[in-house]
Amino acid sequence: MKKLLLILIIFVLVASLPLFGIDRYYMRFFTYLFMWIALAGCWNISSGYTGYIDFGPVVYFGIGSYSTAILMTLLKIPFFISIFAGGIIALIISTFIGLPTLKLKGAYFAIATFAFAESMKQIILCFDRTFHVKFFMGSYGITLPICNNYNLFYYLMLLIAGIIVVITFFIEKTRFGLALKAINESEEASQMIGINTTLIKLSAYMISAFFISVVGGIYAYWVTYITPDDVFNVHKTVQMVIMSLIGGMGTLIGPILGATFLSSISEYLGAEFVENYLIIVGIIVVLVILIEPSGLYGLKKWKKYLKQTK
Amino acid sequence: MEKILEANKVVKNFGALRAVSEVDFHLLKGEILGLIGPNGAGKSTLLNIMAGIISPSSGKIFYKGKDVTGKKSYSLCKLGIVKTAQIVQPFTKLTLFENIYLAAIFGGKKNSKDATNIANELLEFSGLFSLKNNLANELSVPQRRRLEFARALATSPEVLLLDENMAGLTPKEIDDFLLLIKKINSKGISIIIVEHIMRAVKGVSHRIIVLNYGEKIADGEPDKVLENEEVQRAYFGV
Amino acid sequence: MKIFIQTLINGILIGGVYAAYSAGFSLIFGVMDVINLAHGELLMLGAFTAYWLFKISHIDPYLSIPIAGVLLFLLGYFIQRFLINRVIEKPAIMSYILTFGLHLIIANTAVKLWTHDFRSITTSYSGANFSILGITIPVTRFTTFILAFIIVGFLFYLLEKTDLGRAIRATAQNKKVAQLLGVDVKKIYALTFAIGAAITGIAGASISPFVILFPEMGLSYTIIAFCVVVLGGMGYIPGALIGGIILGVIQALTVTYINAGISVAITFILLFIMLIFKPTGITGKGNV
Repeated sequence: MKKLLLILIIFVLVASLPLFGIDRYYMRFFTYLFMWIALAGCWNISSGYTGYIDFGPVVYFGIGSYSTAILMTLLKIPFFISIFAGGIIALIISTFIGLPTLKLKGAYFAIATFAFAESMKQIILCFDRTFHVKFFMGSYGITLPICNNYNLFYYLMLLIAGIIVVITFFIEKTRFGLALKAINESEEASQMIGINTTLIKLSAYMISAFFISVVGGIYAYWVTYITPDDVFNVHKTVQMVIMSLIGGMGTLIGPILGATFLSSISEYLGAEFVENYLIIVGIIVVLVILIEPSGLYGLKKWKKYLKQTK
Repeated sequence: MEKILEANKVVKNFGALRAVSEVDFHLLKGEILGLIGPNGAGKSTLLNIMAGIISPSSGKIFYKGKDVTGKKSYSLCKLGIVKTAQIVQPFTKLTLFENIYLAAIFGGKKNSKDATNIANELLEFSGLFSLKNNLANELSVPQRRRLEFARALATSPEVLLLDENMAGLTPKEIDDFLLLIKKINSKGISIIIVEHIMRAVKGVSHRIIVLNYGEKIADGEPDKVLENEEVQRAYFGV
Repeated sequence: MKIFIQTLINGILIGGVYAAYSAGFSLIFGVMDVINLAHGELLMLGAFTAYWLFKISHIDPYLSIPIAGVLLFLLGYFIQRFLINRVIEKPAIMSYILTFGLHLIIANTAVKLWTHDFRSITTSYSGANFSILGITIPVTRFTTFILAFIIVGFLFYLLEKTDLGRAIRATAQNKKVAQLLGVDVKKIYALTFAIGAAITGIAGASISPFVILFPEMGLSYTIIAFCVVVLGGMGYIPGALIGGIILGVIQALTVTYINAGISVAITFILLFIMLIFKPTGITGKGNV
């Protein structure tokens, strides 16, 4: 309960920042941060608790981006309806993809979800050319109507991040969360006590897909121009996974810690030296796996240990 | 006496290996049925099929008269058939309470309040109440066995399938366990018990069936079955 | 008709190339259950070894093959012994995340050292072809194609006929029993990974004459290795040949008769479908 209160306070503080007139540069940084907290949080919901690693979440980001872009440009549908529609489309697709893939063993699930994500990217890239239409626009990308309202995107991303945190909080408290953790340990034992593991995994997968898609839709309108290489890029998956991992998989604040930590490092290192950032991330990943697999969240037990040995 | 569980010509092949071969048997309501046979006879396989953990290659399974062939373990669990694992698998990162609560909620289909009561009762019953908020990985092996048992009972089963739960127990522990089984049976739960320890099976079963090389070779009262020539040959090669 | 046969031959040749650099990946998965996401980087290092030796000391890439093999053997041994070994007993996901971290480190360090620039090796025989019955066969690809068979043959011989191979297979099938029989499991794993890395490095050196070299090239090769190995059966070495050739032929046919973009899409769709319907591969011999 204390944890939630703390998060609520931070949330309110952060929400009021724009009212105090912060620099546009920082607004942009925070908007990205909220986006990553939401994305890492979604991945945490679908994979963090069960330990069943999804390597294709970016596909729903792309689906959301493209749905929103096409609905807004071709059908002139308003923004808020478009992103919601994108979420529904993702929900439907995730049901069809989730059912067969969630039955696979861990490694195969990871590869299959990755394969699906890459397939989508390739399909969108060559669809128009193959079928002689002008729909997805391939590598030319789609340009959305311009929107300069930084406040809108700041608050939208913050809102989604907040929703994800609340959902995660409720998952942790209820039987759904317990079932996810049980599945992590033993799918067979879980089934033996009456848990329909595929259904549970599918539910988490679908919730995650919906919100990732909505975030993708917001992103599309925010950056105004999207291409398949951007919104279906495997690096986004990598970020989601690593942020959740470093912060602590299967915990409430893990994704928040991880997203904040990595976003700060990448800001500090600057955009020109993305290789430096990736090398450091790689080293951190290796260290986390070898030393403290529970990530930053796990560090708190080291604090306890140090206190005791004094 | 009605048949609560029935297997009809059940066959299980693993590739070229025929593990279970045209087995017919039934379990009467309120009965304790012993299932014995030499190593590799197919007992665990048969039990796993009855529990829905693996599906039969052919044949049918009936529960309370309804065809449940091919239903998965979680469906059967909700219907009232539960099996304890041969190698105990508690959820180590959950507390004892959560382990049992989870089983009551899903397998037992209980609401939160009832599940909490059942979990507490079973913790008391198993002598584990004081450890209820400990993580399951902090338990000793006998304690884990008791937890496994409590977890199975939390699903409010009508049929309990016990797969070699007595391996490694001392004679006193075996006696305690047999009392426990009789107590549970007296509450109306039908039981199939797979065991190697002969005196245990004899002491508690109303009836025994014997498997050898995947086939049923005997079915009847414990004394009669154990005196059966074919059964003796299967075990002792005499 | 001629176009069809040429396409088919192209597909088979490129399939052989795929098989050459996927066999190591299959070996590592088959024995240790580790999905090496840094696989492409091992290949890249082998290719760059050949490149730098060519650029600086004018050594023919084919002569660099053994050097690449030795270097990658050592690197592979080191990676397994000191890094992967620590998580081998833990849930499998930790090993893939670990190798993924290695992928990030190696690929980006290479970029820092050698820049993003695309490079290639041009030798006297770079563009050489020979013709059989009017079908053009590029010499360099053909050499790698033959190499694929040599690699698979070597692995087969190693695993089936030598003591080390038997120890490796025993460990793959049942680690605990192998330990009881006196096998030093950690050492076997280290050797297996080293051999897998060496083979991949050798494949890298052998493709250096005809592919574009750049430090981030690894990832797309890792992805192809996945497809090849899933198609042929994870952990089944001859399956690398089968999977490679099937993939190569399918790609060649789609490029010729539809368009190039679609062939990549089809690769992934094929991978996805295989995993759902037949994860043990076309041969059915993969480890699931």
